[in-house]
Amino acid sequence: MRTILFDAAPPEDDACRQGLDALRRALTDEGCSVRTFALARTAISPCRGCFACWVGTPGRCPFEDASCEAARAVAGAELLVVYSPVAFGCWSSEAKKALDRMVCLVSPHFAFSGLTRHRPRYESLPALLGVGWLAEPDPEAESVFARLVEHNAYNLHAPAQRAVLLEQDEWARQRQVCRGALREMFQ
Amino acid sequence: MRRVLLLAGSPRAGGVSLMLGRELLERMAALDFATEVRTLRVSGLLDAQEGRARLHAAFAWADTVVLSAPVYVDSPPAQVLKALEFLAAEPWRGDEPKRFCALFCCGFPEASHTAICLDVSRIFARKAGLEWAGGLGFGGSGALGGQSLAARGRMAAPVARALDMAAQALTDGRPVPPEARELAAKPLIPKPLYLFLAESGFLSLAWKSRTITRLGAKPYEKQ
Repeated sequence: MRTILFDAAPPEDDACRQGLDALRRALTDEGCSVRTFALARTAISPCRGCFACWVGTPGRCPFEDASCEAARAVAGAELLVVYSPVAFGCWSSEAKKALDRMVCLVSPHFAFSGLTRHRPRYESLPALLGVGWLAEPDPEAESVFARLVEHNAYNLHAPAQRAVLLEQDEWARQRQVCRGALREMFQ
Repeated sequence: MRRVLLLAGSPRAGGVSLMLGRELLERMAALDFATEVRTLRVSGLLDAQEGRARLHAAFAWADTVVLSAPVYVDSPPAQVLKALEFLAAEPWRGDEPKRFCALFCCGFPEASHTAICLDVSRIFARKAGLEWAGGLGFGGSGALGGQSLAARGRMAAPVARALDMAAQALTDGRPVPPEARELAAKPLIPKPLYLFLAESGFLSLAWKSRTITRLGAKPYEKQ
């Protein structure tokens, strides 16, 4: 399965990176062919909210940086995995700067049924697995994170979605949690 | 004296969220002449040491912090999250409590798209040692443009009333009341009309950009 991994783990956070390692092993265990964007080492500018990727250069951000390659990769993938520390129930700013730039993957036109969202630009977009890292348990943040992944999947027209939270734990257990989520998504 | 800091989270200079934040602060200043207000745009602020120092100093100065920002991909924009992460890294431990209020606006007609942003703001307040003073979520921000609410006339009356109520509550030291949240969430125009106007707006921009026949382009389609 063609898989894109947005890795927003801080390079200096060993505990968080252990979760990333467990996730990567789980992905390969489940037969995913993974291409990783290490966001801390990838130059991606924040979205300017200019709508140019919708009306100026449709489907492509005119401010070319690594996000254009990331968007191309996501458009051709079957699974998008985002791994990020959970910041107040949300993605970290590092993960978010990449996700904000993925707005070129949807069309400016609206889908009129249900809760409003934009129509998809491509016939198929990848399923979304959101994996959050929490240094300590926080039920409020966990609940908001699960809703966020669900909303992201809805607006990005992902055919399947799961939110997983990893905490301080044994590597093998973290890997098992990720494998379980992948199996649930594609069973 | 009350000291209010507006953290403007939109990367666009003339955005609706900035206008709403300024309208709230103007109301607070009008209610209490001893209110001093400052505005800081977070876009690009943390890229340099000087900007980080400015944010730190403005945050320490204020007794009430108001964040106004748009919704990007269901949550606060990356630059706003970066500012929140920066501020929460050293939770407030001052003698006087510091209050935090958030305004989020969304281009979709339903205000429910702002709910996650307000939840994120509430959790930030807890993590940063601030007192959560509530927030307002506005849908259909395209109908407001970037102009003042007065320029939008009666259509913007519920928004103006919601800001009046929020300003009064914040000035009195109370949280934003539920009635203000309900008014803010009220659609300004019917959803089908809003979507028609929004579609027309995009088509008009595309016409001017000579891209109207390419709006559905798939530049990253698999070959």
